[in-house]
Amino acid sequence: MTDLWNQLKAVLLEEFLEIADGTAVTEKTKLAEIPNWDSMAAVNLQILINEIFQVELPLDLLQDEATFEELIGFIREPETIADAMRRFHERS
Amino acid sequence: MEEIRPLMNERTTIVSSTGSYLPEKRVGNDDLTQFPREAIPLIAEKTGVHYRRVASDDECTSDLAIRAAKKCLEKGGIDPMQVEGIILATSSPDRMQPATATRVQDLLGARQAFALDINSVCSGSTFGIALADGLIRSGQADRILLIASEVYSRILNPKDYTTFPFFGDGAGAVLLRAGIREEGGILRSCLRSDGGGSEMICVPAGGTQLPFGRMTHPRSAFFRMRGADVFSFAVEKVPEIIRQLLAEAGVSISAIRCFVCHQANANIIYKVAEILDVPVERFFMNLSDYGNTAGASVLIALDEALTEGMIRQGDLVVTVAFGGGLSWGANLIQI
Repeated sequence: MTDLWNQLKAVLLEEFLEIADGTAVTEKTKLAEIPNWDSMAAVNLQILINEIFQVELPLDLLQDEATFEELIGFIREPETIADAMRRFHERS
Repeated sequence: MEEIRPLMNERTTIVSSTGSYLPEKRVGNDDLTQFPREAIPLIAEKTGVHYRRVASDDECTSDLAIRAAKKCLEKGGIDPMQVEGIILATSSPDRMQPATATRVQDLLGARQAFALDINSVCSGSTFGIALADGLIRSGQADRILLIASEVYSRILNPKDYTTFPFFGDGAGAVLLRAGIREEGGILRSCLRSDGGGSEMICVPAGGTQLPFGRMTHPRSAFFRMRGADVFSFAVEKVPEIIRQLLAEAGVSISAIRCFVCHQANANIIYKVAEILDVPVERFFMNLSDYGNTAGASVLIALDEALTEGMIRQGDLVVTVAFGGGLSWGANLIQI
């Protein structure tokens, strides 16, 4: 978890300058808590995760309530993404 | 006709002619293959942008400005030597110095004209109209060519979905001349700034505050914008400044034939129309084809609205823009 979190955090620092400027983030942080988070920023995070980890995360899983811990889970076990998407569509 | 209260000076500034230039290269949303397929429909949904024009590799901001300026002068039947001043509004200049306007002056052959740049980011056209109006009213010049030109494709990060899909390159121009009150012209301007919001829209690096050599993040070299904050800022300030402008001029909103608003986002324009209780059809829109051309958008739109007949001689028009700075401004013009 820690290695992946450190890698993901490095990506976040690169993408979201406000985090680099001092906003604290942990694995428990929700995406909506990132400064200036919106549906456009979600696309940038999706692109970066794909580039760095070669994992294609659907935008539907990059919702406001998702935490970095959940994203790390998908990065570590991409095969769980399909199940998560099924649950997402059942809920919505 | 209501009694319009222009500024005190009897000498006024008349819109003599307009022109615009959009680069030939047209890029559709589907051509933006660097972004995930599922994100492409969001571009039009969020902003109304379907296409944008992109300058060729050998075109820079002054080249677009010159093309727009030539069209404007040709329409007005004016020789470049008759132009006394060139004001170029741009936030994507050719170089940090000298002023991009000086290259325009040289290549246009406007050797009698002084030339200067102004940078009010996306509000550049409206600030430029007010500035040119002041120079003409004061007797400093009788004929000023205001140009707004932007090549944002050079300052955007091609991989940044929060900015890259929404902007386009282009230039607009308006030739302004001295006239008398009975001719109409620029009746009133309102300009506002709020430097407290300077981080909302900016290119962080490349100036003296953060030279390229001291950047810690490569992305600092590119334009960035907090889209949601800009939306809130725009829908608050644009209706406010239009109301203020019209109140100061003693003109009712129903008298305005056309609103030429900065073409940033169709949803902002829809919201502004709703807040002002004005049919959105009275707002000229071309951003579907061009995207957000930053400081150039108002002059491009003004030229197209005149060319397409949405604005006719004698009509009252409001030009209004908002952008980095923060800055926002509006002009009341009788064409």
